Amino acid sequence: MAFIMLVCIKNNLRQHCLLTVLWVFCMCLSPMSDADDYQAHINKVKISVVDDAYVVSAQITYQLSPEALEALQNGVPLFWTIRIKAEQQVFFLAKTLVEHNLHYQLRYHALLNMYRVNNEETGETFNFSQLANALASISQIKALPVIAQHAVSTPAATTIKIKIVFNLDALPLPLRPFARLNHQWSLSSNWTSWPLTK
Amino acid sequence: MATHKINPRINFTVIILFSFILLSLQLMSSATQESSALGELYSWLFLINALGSIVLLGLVIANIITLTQQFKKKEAGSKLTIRMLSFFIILALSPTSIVFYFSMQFLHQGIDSWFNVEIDRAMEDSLELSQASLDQRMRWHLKQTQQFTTILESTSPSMMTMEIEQLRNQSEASEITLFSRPGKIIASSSNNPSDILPNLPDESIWLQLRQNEDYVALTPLHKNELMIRVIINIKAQQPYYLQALYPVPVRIADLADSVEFAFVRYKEMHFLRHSLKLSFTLALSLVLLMSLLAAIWAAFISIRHIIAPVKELVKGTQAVAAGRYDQLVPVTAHDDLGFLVESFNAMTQRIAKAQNESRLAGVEIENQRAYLETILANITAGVISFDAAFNIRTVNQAAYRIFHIPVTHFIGRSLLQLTDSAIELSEPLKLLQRLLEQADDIWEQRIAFLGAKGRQELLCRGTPLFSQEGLRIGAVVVFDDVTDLIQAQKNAAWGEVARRLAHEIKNPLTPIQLSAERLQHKLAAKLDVADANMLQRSTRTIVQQVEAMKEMVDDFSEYAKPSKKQTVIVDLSLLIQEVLALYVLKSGVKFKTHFHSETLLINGDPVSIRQILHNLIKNALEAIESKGTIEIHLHRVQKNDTHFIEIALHDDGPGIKEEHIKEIFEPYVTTKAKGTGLGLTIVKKIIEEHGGAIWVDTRCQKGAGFILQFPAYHVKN
Repeated sequence: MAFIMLVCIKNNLRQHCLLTVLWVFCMCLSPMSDADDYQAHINKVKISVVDDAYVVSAQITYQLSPEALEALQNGVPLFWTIRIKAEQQVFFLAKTLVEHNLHYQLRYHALLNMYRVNNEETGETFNFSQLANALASISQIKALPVIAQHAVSTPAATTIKIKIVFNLDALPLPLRPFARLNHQWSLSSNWTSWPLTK
Repeated sequence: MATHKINPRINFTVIILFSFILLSLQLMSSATQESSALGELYSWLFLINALGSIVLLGLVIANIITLTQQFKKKEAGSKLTIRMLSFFIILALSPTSIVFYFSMQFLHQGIDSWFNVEIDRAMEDSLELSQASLDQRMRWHLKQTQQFTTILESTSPSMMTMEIEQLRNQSEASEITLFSRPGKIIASSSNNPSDILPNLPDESIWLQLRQNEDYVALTPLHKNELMIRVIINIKAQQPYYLQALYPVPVRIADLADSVEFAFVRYKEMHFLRHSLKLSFTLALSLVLLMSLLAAIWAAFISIRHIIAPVKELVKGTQAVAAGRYDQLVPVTAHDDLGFLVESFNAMTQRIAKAQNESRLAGVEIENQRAYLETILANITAGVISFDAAFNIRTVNQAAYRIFHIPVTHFIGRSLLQLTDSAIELSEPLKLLQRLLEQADDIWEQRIAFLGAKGRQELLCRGTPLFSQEGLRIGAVVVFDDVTDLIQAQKNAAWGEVARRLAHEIKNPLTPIQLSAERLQHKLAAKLDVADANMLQRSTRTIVQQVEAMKEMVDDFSEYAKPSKKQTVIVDLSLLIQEVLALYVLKSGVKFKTHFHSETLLINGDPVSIRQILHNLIKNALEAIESKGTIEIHLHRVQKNDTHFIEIALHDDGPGIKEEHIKEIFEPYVTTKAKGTGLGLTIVKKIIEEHGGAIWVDTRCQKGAGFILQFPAYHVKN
């Protein structure tokens, strides 16, 4: 490392050299950083039975960090996946009954000065002049059928789990290693569990 | 000869590990390509390589620690390993650092060259140009749509549909729709008959319409198509909103899309510039670090293999230096070093064989020397050998017994240096030294000296030693103490004289005495007074002289007759006190006794010992003329592991002249007018009959002194 530092300094690359060193230190210190600042949150989850199926409605709050916002404004597309699964607890093991993944892409359209949301499942594209509106469009899960009622043998032991995954691997290659260690890119949520029956 | 092959498993492991490292680096390099399928694994590959670097670093550190410990312990080969390793690291580091330096420079300069102000401005301008072009088209369509207002304001509601159809046909609009104020579709016309439902504005547009009067915007459609949406307010009897959709020509849309794509790409790259540099720097550093660490680790392994035979050779050399010739060095290679090791083993085997033969010969020589030494130690004659410089080389025990000085302490020194510790031997030793230096052949010399036990006579025989080349390599002197032998010869001669005297002289003395007494008896009455007196004086003189001669002859008889002593255990201190008790009443004489506190016993004839003491005390009294001091010391001494009881008798008289000392114990030697010269001779004879010795104490400064030594009696437990 000292050798790399020396070469970098000689090469008038002090800034990058320091960044390299800092990156290594960040590897050690990253667990200490506050990773909750920009995580997505899942609120107001409602599970109901419609047409013999359990349907889920939820409200999601996305929070873009300054770095993520800057990347978006500079043309970097951001990808989210909303993971919804039904899990049945069998003794100490959790058995996944069904899983749904909703993929969304958000990018900035410089020519039109608009934000474009793409639902990768349906191929639908929505354009928004405001970022808040664009985020709001992917913030709601409206009556999504998760699992048929008859497929659930023990509703009391079954939970619906929801997680918002920010896809770091979809980021441009040079950004990926640093994004993994930078809490400003910790935009995913944790798994949240919701009981099927009250 | 032991031959060890290098463990092939190590080489195989190293090759496998290096292959993994290269594969991992290659995968990471491939993953950096945007189009690579490994892109998703980039972070993991990076992490794996970083972990690999840490593992390699750990291996290198472990090797360095081991090497440092070996160096501290001064283990064989550690210095050479450090030197070779340092050399290797310097050689490896120099080119890689240069390559790294220039690679970094090229990389960073290359990335920086992608971006500059001109390109920034050109990109911004091109986007602005595209936007301006589209804006112009939007304004033109807005104006065109606004022209429909006058027509529609005067059109009755029933004719609206037809009018809209007509307007759409006249204009470039793909779709015209009339909405009521609440947003209800009143009429619509589309160039695509399959479109049943017109394109509806979203909530934000309605919100904007309620705040502003007109709305115009570009709306992207699918597959890079663009559409201009114009919505205007028609203030007829019943207010309406008229929405006209104008498609942007495909060519213009493509161009705008192309400009937008390039702009976004440029902006993205600009944004990622630092990350890109950092990423490349990290990747390059990681490659360098891994390569260097792997090279250093490989260097450790290689050098260890190279050094192994040298290390074994050093150990072997140390073993040979320590005298262990039986240790064979294992042959680990069949190259030049292996040949060297084999040669070394052959050499050590030959040395071992030679050393073993030499050791056996040495043992044989040592046995012979020990045998010779034993003989020399046990012979009564003293033997001293000298080197070419006449320094003492060897000396036997008998020499010590004869000289009473530890000659062995003077090995390597000359005879003259012995005189420092034995002044009385200076003259005979000088004589011996002279004889050694001068004699070229066997010589014999009788040497007399005054030793600790009085006068001693040595019969010395010297032989110069020559090498086979005729060079003088030293000498050997053999000497016997012949004092007792000479004394015995003298005693025998004097005994013979005494017997003859007794026989030839004593026999006529009685008739002479009787005849003189008869003359006195017969003639005394017949002579006058004067003649009678003269006769009486003459006869008395004859009788006295005859008596004196009788005494003298008796003394000779006493001296010559064999000993008839009857030995008992005698406490010498008591005996001396008894003898002294006879003399202490003499006025003018002071006796000083210094007796040791312990009981000092000897095995002897008390009558003879009393005679000795009387003789010596009488001599002392005569010497001091009954005015002076006589000191008697009695104590125990040890000589050659033998205990003696020593009596030292000193007076403060005129002393003994030096010329008399050497013959004072000889018969008929006396300094007194009426002495027979047999007193001290008899004393010496009695003492020697008791196994003791007497000699004149030459150390005393005033008066005369005699030292008497008797073997001490040991009380058996």
